[in-house]
Amino acid sequence: MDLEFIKTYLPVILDGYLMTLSICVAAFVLAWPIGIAVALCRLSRYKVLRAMGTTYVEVIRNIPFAIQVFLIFYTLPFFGIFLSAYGFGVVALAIYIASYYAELIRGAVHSVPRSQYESARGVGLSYLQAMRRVVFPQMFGYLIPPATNQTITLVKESSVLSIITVPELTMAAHTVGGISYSYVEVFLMIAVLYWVTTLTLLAASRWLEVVTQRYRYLDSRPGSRTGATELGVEPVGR
Amino acid sequence: MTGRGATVELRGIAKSFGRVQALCGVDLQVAAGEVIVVFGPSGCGKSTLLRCVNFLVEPDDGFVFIDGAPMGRIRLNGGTKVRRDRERNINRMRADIGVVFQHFNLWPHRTTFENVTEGLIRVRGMTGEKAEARAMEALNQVGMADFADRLPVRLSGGQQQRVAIARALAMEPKVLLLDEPTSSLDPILVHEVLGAIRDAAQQGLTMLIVTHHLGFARQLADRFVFMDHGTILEQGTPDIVLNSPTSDRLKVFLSLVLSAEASAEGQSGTWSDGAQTHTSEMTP
Repeated sequence: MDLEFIKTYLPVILDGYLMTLSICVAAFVLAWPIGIAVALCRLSRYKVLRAMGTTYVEVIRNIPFAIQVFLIFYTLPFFGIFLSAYGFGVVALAIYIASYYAELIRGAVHSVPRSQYESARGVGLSYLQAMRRVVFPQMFGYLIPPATNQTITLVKESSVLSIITVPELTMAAHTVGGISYSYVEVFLMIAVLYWVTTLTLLAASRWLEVVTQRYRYLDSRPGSRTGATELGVEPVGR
Repeated sequence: MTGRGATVELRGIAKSFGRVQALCGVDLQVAAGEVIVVFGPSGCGKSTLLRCVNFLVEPDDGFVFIDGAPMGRIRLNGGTKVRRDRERNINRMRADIGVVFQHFNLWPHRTTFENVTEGLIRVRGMTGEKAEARAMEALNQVGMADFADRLPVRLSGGQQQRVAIARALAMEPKVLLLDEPTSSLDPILVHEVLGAIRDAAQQGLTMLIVTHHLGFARQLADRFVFMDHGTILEQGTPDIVLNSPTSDRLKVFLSLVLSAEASAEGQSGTWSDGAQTHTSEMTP
């Protein structure tokens, strides 16, 4: 691979890369609220909500993403619905990944001892308050590692959107390959880009894990009433 | 602060978990300010009974009344149909019923102080300052004010349980439920927690205590309730229940508890001895 090649086609590839980043960020931001809502449905006392949550998860996660995207995107026009490939792609990716997030949240909530929820309700907190204030803050230790995996999958699956003409990184690589016939070089380039992106994610996840798990290991700074603030060593439990 | 307890009435409380019948139609009337100690062998339904009082366990049948108001289950038009009460009413009634668990169940991601203020702010709707004053007062009561900024992981079991008691008392409950509050503590820690419970009992709130520390409990309790296989087998003043049990089950249970305490303390005890060892002799 010569430098001249990289110089010529880098702008096209970078455009694609920016598009991929924008898709991933948007889908990530959208997927969490959906995932939380679906998880709450699956955890609900009410049968109807549980059934809805289960249906969502079991339909979405059991069909390959590429096939869902292809089927729905290309059949919508028959019903008179025309969507931008980008918008559709982001929503589709969010919905797909949310089905996994929902299951991870459900598992993480179950991993927090039920006694924590009970003592919250015992004080008089409502269901949502108990979840938000007591259960959710404690689930991150169980949630972050698998959610990181899933988010890496999100980044990689975004390449599938090239089949519905979203001009993202993989699409850009195809374009460059088509012009230059240097498929190996260009795919090597984007492989590195995907890899660097997911590595960055991994670092972010490590950081988030440290921040959210501090309460398990540290004491708060004297005089502060807002929880753990200073770094220390002295692991307690776990 | 006396006379702020509520009456508690249990009428025909039944509950099964799958095939296991935990409670088979339990009736119990507790007067305002009365201290009831519930005891019995493991699996007799005593914890379940306690949890029915604040509806953490939802009874299959029967009703709980707190100061005459039904808890959780409402009978429709005096008929046989029953519906679950609105979530909002249940939460409001729960705020007046403090509960202390065997394993403390403090929220580990919150400091001692925040554990106490959470309910005051979120449930009672207090402002930060008011909640802070109330929380520090409650922590003071159990001797934990100096630990306000600590996270629960840095507290001993006894300290955690005292914070849990403060968390319950800060809400100014009318009823306090204590579910084996000393069972997971060593004898020295038991001593400090029992002190906090005794103080609470003197405030005049209605208390239901599940415990195996009968020696201590008899000093505190107005009434002992012995449960077995999901029913109340015997009840009465501590003296009557401990010294003249009528049922074979209670006789056997008491003799086993007595011999266990005697071997633990290295002395052949009578009940008054048992009481002694839990109070004066057991200083940290």
